[in-house]
Amino acid sequence: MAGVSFVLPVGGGGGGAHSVVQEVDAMRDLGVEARILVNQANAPYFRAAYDRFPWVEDGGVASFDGARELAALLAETDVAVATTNTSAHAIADAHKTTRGLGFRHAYYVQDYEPLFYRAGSTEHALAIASYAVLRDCTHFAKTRWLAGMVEAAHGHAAALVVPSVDHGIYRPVRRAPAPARHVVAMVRPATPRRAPRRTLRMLARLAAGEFGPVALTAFGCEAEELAAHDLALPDGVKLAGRLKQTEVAELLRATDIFLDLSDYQGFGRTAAEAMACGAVVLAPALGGAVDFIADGESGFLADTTDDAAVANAIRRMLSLSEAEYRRMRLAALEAVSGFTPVRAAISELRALGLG
Amino acid sequence: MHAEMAPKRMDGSAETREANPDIMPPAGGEVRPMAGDAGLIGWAEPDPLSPEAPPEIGLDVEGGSTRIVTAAPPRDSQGRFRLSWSLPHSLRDGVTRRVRAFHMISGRELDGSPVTLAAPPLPAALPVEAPEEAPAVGLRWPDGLAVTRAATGLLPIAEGMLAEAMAPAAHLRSELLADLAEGPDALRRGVRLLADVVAPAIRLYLRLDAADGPVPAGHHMEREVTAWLPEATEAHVKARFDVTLERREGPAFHTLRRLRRGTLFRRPTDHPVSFELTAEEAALLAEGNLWLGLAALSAKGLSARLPGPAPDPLAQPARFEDARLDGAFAHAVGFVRVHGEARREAHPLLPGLWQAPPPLAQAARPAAQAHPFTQVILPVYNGHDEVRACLHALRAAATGPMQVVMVDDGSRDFTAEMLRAEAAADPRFILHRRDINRGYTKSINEGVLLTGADWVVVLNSDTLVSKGWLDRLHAAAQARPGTGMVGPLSNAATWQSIPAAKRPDGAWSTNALIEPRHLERLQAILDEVSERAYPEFPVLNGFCTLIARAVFDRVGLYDEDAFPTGYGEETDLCLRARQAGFRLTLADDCFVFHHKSVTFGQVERTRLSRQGGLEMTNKHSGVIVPALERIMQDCAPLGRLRARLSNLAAELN
Repeated sequence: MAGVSFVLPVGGGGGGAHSVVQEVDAMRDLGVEARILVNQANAPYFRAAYDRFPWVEDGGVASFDGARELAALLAETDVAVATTNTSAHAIADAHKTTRGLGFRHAYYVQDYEPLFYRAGSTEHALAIASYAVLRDCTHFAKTRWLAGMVEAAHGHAAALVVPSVDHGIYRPVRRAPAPARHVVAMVRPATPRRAPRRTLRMLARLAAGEFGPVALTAFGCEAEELAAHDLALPDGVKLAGRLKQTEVAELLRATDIFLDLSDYQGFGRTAAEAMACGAVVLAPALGGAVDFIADGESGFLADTTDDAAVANAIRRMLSLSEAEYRRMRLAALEAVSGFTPVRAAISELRALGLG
Repeated sequence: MHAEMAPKRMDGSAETREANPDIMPPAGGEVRPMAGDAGLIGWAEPDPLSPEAPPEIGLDVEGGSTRIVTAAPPRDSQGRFRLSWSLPHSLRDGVTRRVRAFHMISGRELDGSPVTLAAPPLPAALPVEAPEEAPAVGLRWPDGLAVTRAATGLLPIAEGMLAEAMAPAAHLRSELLADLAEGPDALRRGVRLLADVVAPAIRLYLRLDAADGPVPAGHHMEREVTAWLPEATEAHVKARFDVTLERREGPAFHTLRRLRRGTLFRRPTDHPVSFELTAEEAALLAEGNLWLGLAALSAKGLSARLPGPAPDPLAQPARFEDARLDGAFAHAVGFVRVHGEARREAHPLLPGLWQAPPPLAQAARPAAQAHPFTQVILPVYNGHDEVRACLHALRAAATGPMQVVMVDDGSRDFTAEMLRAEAAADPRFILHRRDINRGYTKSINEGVLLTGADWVVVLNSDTLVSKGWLDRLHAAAQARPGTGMVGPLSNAATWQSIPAAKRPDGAWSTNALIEPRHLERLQAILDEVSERAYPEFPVLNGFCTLIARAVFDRVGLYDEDAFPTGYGEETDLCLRARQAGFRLTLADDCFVFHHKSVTFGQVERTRLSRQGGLEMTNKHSGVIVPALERIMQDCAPLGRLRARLSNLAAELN
């Protein structure tokens, strides 16, 4: 069976890394020699973050220091998969160090990364160039929006693959009735596109009772981070802090309504995970969440740059009758039930011509 | 001429211009310390060509910056202007300093220079004086706007600007970059440094000025640094880049601290720096000895715009909470236009984010049925016979108001005489002659600047046009509103070639079955069989292109910097036009014959073609050329036309 190497120069813990790890896990279960290559500086953190997978310490993760070492690792593989814009450049740089490397290129586009940076900045230039530095590259993405952006902006046909959610931890549980809906939102002060100010603004309106009685929880940061960014948590909102993956799952299992008020979402992983736990979600209409949320049926979508539109959507969510809420909850669970690591792995192997 | 203004010989004796008009000794003067060593005084001669203008004197203060002082009346008996300069308070520190004085016009060092100044320090209670007003950094270029020098030590480039190239670089060329175009890609005033070989570091030092007087320690400064590599040496070229704070110490700089490390590309990128001054740095700023150091590491050169204050981030109201997204999405729209449809006004992936395409150009038509007045820019460099045939074809093919601007780029054979004769014979033919060959791209840019019509055609001089060709090109522009550029079909014009675009071996076809004598017959066939679908193309071959003036107004001229000899300049303009929202339309009913003659030999062509390709890859990183080629390859109307012309050889003969 062909060898597939995902180049993932990160410390782990983020949604993109979770995807790759659980999909590599599934590929290995399917008998594929799949592995992850991490740069040396991040390797200890990465191994610690995913030590629950036995293969992480058993040949499934290798580390590299510089282009030459990466080239040596890639010499043994059939397909090198870039997973971030920096990893695309790392693979291209590896090619420059060593002649005759015969592996094929692929790019797992997990977000349209030029949107992460200011146009004109070095980082933006690198993100744009990542779509050009790999020759004869197979692109694949997990939402139509991401695939469409790569094709529309750079002319690369990108295969659509299945997203994956770890249903082992993101699953519904039986809950005791509560007097008020539990509304949960993620607040990431250091990531402006996740719109922490908008999120806190809407949490404040919720806490003030504008939409009726609710219990409110925010997570994704510590109080010190909020203060450092000149932000304040509204009274009446509980801050759960920075959570590990299993802790996020535990919180989402106790969530009735999940708010993702980001400017846009390439995929919307946390919303999908919340749906897998049975929550009703509100996500940005701009981006990839439209693939798995049918507005008003399996969740809600809004132009998140418009506070009135967001408030209107929250009002609709909190005015659902019990029967409507139950119906939407089931629709949400059904919408993401197919997002399994095995299906994701199979779709990626097919995109790579290996399935 | 006043007798007392006679310039001096080097030995100090006077000589009048009338005595020997060929001898014009350089202007000079004399200086000496003023009382108390607190400054210098003297007399400076005016420029003999501008005897009434007070001369400027450059003062190179040891351990500090170069200052420009303007002498002023009264004048002495020799007509010299009085010069007086006091040590600024920031330099009244008791340190002995030597000051060299140079005449800014002649470059001559004044008699008595250097002057040693050792003024006692001022009492501490005195208020800090505002620094002497120095000319803005980069305002004066006393050694010339473009100069190549031996890379030995620090090289003065301009006012407040020094450079150096590390060994093994032996030479360093510096050039002023002036405003070239409007729009986001416009080059503001800047500098380009290019060494003869790759050096461990190419450094540029720019003096920081305290615009509003002395500042205290802790003062916050922000500078917008934009830098890039001046040459594409490989695909996706990049180099490490450091921005530092520096202090000048005699012949060298001392690094105070590094402000940022980044990456340089061929395309300009921003490297904003934001810092708070230490007490030492504030003092250095006050005395004009705090410098910004820009270093390209393991590079052949470095280009940079002169740093300015950081732009106000709140200048434009942001739609998104992440204010970077507005610009990043706008950038993505440009790519979507290049790879998709240029004129599209909305996209399902980018709802509500689409910038309006430029308004439709409506050129005035002087009379019913006639095409709008069109100026044809014809760059010429030798090629007597083909050029003459081209001119005769242009004259014979004219059906409406037109003018041909022949830009002779220093032809060395009989071509120059022939062009003069043609221009003399027909008032519609204008000759613009340059004695020195400066390259194709400069030629066509000059042509564009010489013209003023709403529409111009940039036409290679080895072409033959057929009767009504401008009518057909304009018809294509009219058929597709929003068109900024139109290209015809040809025998040798890459994807616009018919009947074949490529040869069986994959090389571009020149369709040798078509000869110049077939021109009218082939046009007649096209008149009969063309669908007149006027398909939209992502790029057009540059051999013959009708271009709306609005395109140049919006995106600027051809890029002389990246593509000086051609080989990519037209593709670059096409991509910029598409990004701006102009359509590129193929006139699939118009044929222009192309001899495809060559200016350069095979080896040079290969080199230039490779260099042009590298520049294109770097300048338009993110534009995927094979994807654009697929669009042209898959053009259905053209495919049907090629099928229809499969028996063209028989039809022509």
